[in-house]
Amino acid sequence: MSLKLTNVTAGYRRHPVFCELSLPAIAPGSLVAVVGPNAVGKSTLLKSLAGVLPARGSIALGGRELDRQSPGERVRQIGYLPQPLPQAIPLVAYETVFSACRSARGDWNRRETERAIEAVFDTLGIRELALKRLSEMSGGQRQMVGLAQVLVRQTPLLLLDEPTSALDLHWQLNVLNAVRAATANDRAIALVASHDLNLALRFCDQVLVLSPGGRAELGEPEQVLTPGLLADTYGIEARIERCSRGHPIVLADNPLSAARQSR
Amino acid sequence: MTPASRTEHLPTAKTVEPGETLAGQYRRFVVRRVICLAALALACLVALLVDVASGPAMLGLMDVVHGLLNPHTLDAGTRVIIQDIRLPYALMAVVVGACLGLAGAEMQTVLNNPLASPYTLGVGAAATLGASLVIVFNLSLFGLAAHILLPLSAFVFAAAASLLILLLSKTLGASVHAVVLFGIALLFGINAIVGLIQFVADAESVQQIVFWTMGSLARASLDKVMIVAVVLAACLPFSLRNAWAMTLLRSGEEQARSLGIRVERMRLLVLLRVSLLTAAAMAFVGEIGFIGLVAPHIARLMLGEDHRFLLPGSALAGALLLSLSSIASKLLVPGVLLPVGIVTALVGIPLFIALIVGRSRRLAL
Repeated sequence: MSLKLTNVTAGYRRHPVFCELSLPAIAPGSLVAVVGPNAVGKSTLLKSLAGVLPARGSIALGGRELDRQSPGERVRQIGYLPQPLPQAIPLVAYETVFSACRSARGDWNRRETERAIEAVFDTLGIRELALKRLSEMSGGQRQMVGLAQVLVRQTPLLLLDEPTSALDLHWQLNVLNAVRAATANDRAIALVASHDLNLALRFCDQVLVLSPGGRAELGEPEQVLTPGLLADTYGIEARIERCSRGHPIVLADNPLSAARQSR
Repeated sequence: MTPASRTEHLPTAKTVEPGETLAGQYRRFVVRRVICLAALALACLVALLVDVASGPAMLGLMDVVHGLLNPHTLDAGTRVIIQDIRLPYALMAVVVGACLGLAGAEMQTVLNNPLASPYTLGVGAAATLGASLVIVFNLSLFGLAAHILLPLSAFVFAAAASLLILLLSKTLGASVHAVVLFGIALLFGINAIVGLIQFVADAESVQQIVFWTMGSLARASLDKVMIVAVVLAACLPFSLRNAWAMTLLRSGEEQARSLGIRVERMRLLVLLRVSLLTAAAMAFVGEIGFIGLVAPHIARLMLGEDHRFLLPGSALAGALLLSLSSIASKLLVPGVLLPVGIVTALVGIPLFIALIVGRSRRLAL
């Protein structure tokens, strides 16, 4: 199922964060990094796609408009990980994930649900956390449980808002591998909001750069993330170099002066 | 390196057995909770029987059981004591405690605030205002006697306070903070009005108001117990039907919204249920403040946050707390029936602290 946005406007009450945003169709199986400076609308975009924030315009998944689908259909299409971590409450990880299945996958029987939960705990490598309370977990652990809540539902669209913000490098790679596995064989599209440009260069098929003023650019990471665009978007002087294995990496040298930015 | 081989990065729980399915282990975990819930229910039953047995004329526990099962075998005096006096009091303690416990749990969840209780929103204070007006101004309406008008007025005022909150929540967009802040403002406002009424009232009326605010089971009768029980029975299935959604809401509001849960609608419906439960409970016994706040925390400590267990657990914990308070109110000062509202905190706080300390010790091991 491809994802197509046409003239989408979203924001908070009378303050639209972005207006009339249109993007080329995103192909199934794509892992797309959504990057951009603070307050540019990365989270707003994901929230409006998830239906948490109202949006105007057309958002079509597999040719079908999302706002024409029933709430039940929609939750089977979209898995959304919000930026706030799951709350530190005395709820064990297994039932956190189980409750998400019960709510969103009413079409699964108990056996299918249990199998899916088993698989997602194994994929994320958090089997040992299954019977641990969220209130007894670290922030990183709760973020992993939040991810399990999303990935378990096997939706064709994954919207992950900074899914690695509380994780160390090992678990960041672990999560990205799990998301990559979820999108494999054109099963899903994943939009991952992040501040880590190197993660975008290394792991993503495409990158969507949101810039102040409502500009948006979607394309292959190496073509989109150029020193010029980084200067315009982030106000930094940056280079794209290659590591010893040939992977591109972003090196930020200096913030640009306000005068130069305005030029 | 495979993900499974690197889990040492995250501290792990020791409860998960390798090689067994997670579903199997979770089922065992659920069984433990069901046992815990059953133990709570059993404790409520025992407390109810002890409550009936205790009083100026102490009865044996087995005599009470026998007397309740075969009332015709009792002598007239004992039958009056058990059936007409103590049983209504004891049952009222159970149903009122259950109403307040359930209302508190639901409110804490939808307002995402551990300090929320029917009192937070001023619903209890509104009931007192309704009662005070009848007491002080000696109101009579449509020829209704004061003993009917007083609970009716308390109920109407409590329900009106809830409706006001619902109305404002809807117009303000039902933001959690707005609801809590408005509730607190309402509480202070109503308390000020009650204070004003007390200031202008004569000494006898003030005494009656003060007695109302202390909460007492002495106003109970089987008819009144039935009314409160019907309200509880009507609300409980709706609460339990929402259990999954409430569990998700507690783990994170945005996640819950993305799962199709209509949070605003749920919040409004819960506030409506809470107002019904609180108004019904307090109309007949007066103000009992502690249960709605603490019973959910006791249930949470014992059963966790899964609302399939937390909601009935809170109702049972509330029933147990008020039942124990009722027993203590008869035994603390021999020959004197203390107002149960005073005793509630005295009984509840040690129990609550014991649970917290016990849990901290278990975690420290």
